[in-house]
Amino acid sequence: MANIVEIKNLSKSYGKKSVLKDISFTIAEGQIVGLFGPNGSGKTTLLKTMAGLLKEYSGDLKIDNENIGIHTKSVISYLPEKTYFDKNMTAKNAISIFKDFYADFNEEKARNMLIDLSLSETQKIGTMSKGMQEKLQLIMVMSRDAKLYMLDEPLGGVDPASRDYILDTIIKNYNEKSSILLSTHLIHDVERIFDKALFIKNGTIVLNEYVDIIREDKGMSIDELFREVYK
Amino acid sequence: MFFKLLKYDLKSIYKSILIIDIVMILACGLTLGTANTRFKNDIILGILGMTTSFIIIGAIVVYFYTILKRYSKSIYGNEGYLLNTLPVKPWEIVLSKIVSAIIMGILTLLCGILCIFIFFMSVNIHISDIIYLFNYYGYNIFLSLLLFGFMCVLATIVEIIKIYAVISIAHISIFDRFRVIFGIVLYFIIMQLESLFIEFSFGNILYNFDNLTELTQASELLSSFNMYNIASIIYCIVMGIIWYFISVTVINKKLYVK
Repeated sequence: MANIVEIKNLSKSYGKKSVLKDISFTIAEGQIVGLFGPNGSGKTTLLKTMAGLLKEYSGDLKIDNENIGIHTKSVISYLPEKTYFDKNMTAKNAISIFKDFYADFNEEKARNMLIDLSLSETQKIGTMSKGMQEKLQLIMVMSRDAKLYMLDEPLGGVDPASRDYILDTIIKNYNEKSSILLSTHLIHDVERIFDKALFIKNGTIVLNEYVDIIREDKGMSIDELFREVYK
Repeated sequence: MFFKLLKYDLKSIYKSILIIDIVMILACGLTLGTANTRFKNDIILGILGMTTSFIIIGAIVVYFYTILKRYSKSIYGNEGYLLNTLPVKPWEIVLSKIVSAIIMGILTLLCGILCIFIFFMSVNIHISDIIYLFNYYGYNIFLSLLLFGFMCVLATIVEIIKIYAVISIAHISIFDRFRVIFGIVLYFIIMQLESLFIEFSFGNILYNFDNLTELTQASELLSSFNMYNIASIIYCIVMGIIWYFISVTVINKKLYVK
């Protein structure tokens, strides 16, 4: 299987503070990879660098065999932990933007998910709760037929009742050639979906292993291993 | 993709600018209406005139605040998470911001000119008087003033592009902790450097322009004025291109969306 992500010796600093230190890993097509680590470990910085939001870094970062640029942005569907839509916009406007800029956006899928999650197309985003805004962003991101989905804490502000729907949505809406890199603190809720786990600590990858191997060799769930590694 | 970006940029700024432009025209209309009624009196006209002036200044402030805030917020703020992950080129992002600012700026300028004409009508200065004035001094002065007007519009556009570049530089990660102060200081340093450069590079033209009283013939006066305007237009074009490329380069090489 070809790799959709190839990262070699990636380092990133904010001034004198080193946030990512010599990180190397690959993600194959069709894999669902969990990115785990405590606050400040470098998860968000890694995802932002891959998404093209942070430009000054060293090392080799290739997505779909290309350096970060127009092509990688067209194949990545990125969900940041921040809410990024203008507060005066509506879900309808958001659909219009995604439709205009992403050739792989499926408008019908987005509208159906809005109905399933009881979100109005005409309500101003500024009047939505944070959870509703996060749901809307997730809907937009998952309505694309992207090669790589990068989801930063997609369940953070979402109520437990909606989490299963969202997880099912994530699994249902990606095809076997797409890959997912998902960062979360809520390991217990999501560990059933992962093929592989990446543990990051102080900007360094401390574990990069298949979930089945973790379970067989260590006799632990990812949640239990996480607690042991970061205790 | 550029035109799509331009469409969304215009959508995000037009409302607040259009509202203040309409208020500006209505205020001028009210002044004109009052001037032509039996309630006309100097105090009321004075108050209306003052109010209209404040609204015109307000329109300019709202215009600049809206476009500069949009630039900063949509590229380097939370909305930057969307804009900078769209499959578009950095030059398209910056150019769409500049063109949308120019379009809304021209709209505000036209509304402002309309207001000035309305105000002239309120105080009984007729357009025909102004045309007569131009005819009296000859056609050349009209062309000179037109050139001067174009230079002023171009200088304003370049000033906007310059502030865009300053905002971009201030958002480089090494300036993160003091970006607002750094941006303001940088802007004033650039202003000082520019005035020094102008003084040394085409100071001779400026000297002639500053000493108009020493020029006895009207034609010399006009040609000096025109030379100054032409030199300023060339300078504005060169600086506009430089500031534009600085903004694009920051997004291309130094982007840091917090």
